[in-house]
Amino acid sequence: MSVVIPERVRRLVHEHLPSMEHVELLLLFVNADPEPRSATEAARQLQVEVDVTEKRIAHLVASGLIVSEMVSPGYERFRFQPSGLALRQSVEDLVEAYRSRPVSLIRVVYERPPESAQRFADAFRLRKDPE
Amino acid sequence: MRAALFPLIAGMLAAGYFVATLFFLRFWKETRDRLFLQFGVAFALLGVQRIVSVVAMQWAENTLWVYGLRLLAFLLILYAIIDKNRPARPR
Amino acid sequence: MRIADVVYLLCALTSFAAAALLARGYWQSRTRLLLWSSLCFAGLALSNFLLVLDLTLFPGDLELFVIRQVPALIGLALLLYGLIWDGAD
Repeated sequence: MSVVIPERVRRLVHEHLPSMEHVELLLLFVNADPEPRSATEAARQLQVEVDVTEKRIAHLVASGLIVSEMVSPGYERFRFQPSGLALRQSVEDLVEAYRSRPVSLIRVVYERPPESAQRFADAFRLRKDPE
Repeated sequence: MRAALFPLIAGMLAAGYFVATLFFLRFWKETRDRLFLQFGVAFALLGVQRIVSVVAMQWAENTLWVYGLRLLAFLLILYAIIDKNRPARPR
Repeated sequence: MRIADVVYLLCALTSFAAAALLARGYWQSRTRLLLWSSLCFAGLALSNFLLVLDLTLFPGDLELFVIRQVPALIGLALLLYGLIWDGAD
């Protein structure tokens, strides 16, 4: 249990970022902000396959962290745009944690509670919008 | 004859409630989500009610302490659900 | 309606609400723990509801005590089964 990682970063990671690859993908968009990036550009920069990157991007979109901009039919780009102030603040803390406490952050990402517990708690949210 | 089953049933329920409480408390420790603490305490209260029934050999359920404890437990569960849906405060 | 009836009705409704939310969660996420816990709260709701019936229809009698606890026992057993086998995924 790392106390050096703020509580809302833990929640952000456990709710929306299942792996360090997701974290780094998110940070790519944060650093590029306000410039959008396409899946291909992100994949090349992170040296990951494009189809894997596309899946992770879809996950980040569904989590309310990045939004899609359709530049032209078939050419889609994405931009960092958190769906709320709380989410934005959590991402800011995440950036800081990645910079100053990367090992602790990795621990938080991979020492996570069972998904069933998360789902149990989430079931009691009446509305399903991300925090 | 029937009455001989009462302590057995109450004991089984109490044991079940307390084991569930242990699981909820473990989830609370892992997720830091206070919903699990609330559920854990609620189930513990339900277990306590059954234990007291056995100790006092008191099975009638329209007595104050019985429905009082049960009410506390379910109010806590209700509160947990409401608490989960309050907007997060920006810090 | 006596206080006890109101209290147990409230317990039944709260438990039913929890069961419904968990059932919806299971329907959306297919997480098995939610199925078992939903059934548990449904059992607790039914037990409390049967208690209200018992208090209203057979005042002062413990005729239905054993039968009334069966839904709660089954529900708890299912919850524990779910916590033990599906609580670590």
